[in-house]
Amino acid sequence: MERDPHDFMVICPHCDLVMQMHEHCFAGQKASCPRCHSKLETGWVHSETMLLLLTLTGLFFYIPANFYPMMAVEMKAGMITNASVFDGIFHLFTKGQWFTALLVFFCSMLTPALIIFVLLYLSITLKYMQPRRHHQELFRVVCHLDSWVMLDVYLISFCVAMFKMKDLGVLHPNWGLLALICLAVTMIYLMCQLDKRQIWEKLRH
Amino acid sequence: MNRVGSFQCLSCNGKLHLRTPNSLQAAWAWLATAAVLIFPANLYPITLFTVFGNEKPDTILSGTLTLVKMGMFPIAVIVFTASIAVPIIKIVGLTYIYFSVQRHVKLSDKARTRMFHFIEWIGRWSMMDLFVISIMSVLMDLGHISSFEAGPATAAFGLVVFCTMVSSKVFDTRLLWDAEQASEEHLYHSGQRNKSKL
Repeated sequence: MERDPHDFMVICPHCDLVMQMHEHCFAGQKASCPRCHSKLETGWVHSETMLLLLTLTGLFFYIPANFYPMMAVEMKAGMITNASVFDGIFHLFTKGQWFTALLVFFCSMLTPALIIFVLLYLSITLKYMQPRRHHQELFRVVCHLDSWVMLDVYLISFCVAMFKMKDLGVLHPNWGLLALICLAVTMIYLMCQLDKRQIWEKLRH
Repeated sequence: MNRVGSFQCLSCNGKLHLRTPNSLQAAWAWLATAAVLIFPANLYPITLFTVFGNEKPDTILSGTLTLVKMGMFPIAVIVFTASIAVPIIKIVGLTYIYFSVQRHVKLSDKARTRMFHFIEWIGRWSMMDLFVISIMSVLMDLGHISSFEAGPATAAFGLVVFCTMVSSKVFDTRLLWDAEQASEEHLYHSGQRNKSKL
């Protein structure tokens, strides 16, 4: 069979199937692996602008989500305690559980921040300059970190904690929780929509 | 390209290998670490809840049983799944997959790949217990009246989650279909089978 010079090879990131593709997806189209049906490529409408907007949204919610109190508990004795994501980590750290604190910090604060900043930096600088070596290094970090973003797990944990404490006092959800939910949704949407292959192609010299 | 030689990727300058060297060995090592650490993680108390000086240590299992006694059955099921069932399923499942790859056990590629990625995906949910502890330790901290602290098992439990996740990360998934050479299925040409070999 003749090979079209515009054809290119693709490897399914999920099951390693090697395939040949004729053309990239148009906006709204989606290519999926014939063997395992996982996503290969999505034609994303205005992908660069979308990426920039999503990372800015993430950046906007990041500080309130992590540093504003998520919930206050009013005990029967009248005492009130507040907790933000950062408070939880700091508390573990001061009580000597530094490893656990580090792990929670890594999964709930550090990885989202790194991904947001790297993608923001890439989407801004790639508009004005040629891809450099450090762009590639940075994006490689994002590719390795994506399964360590655990904000969705954190939200479920929050629900579990709430149920565990519901008999101990009155729970008052706070603005930090809303910001955390927004950040989690933004991050999940960003990671689902992020087309790594498309970005790698842009990063090629 | 020979089996040992490596090339550089044109996009990211990463090293390219036909198969990542020693990936199975590294995956086994991380898995073995997790399999050892799961014992202290389950035997030592993971939380220390103190009310008016009465310290009540809870292991993962006793914490779940307390939830059942309190009548919060759905939460107990979630906690049990995330902190007891998932780590065990992961360790047993990965052992089975690595063993079947090493010994070339006949097993459908599709089933094995699906199983591997399922295990990779559920791994994150075990972190739940640590997040719950982190949230509750702040909210329950009322100085002398009550405190909720992480027990000695938390670090071990965190390491179990971390090691199993790294184990599935370092494992080269291409080894999954090396075990059974169904070469035809791997080559598709825009949806049609391409008979020529790479």
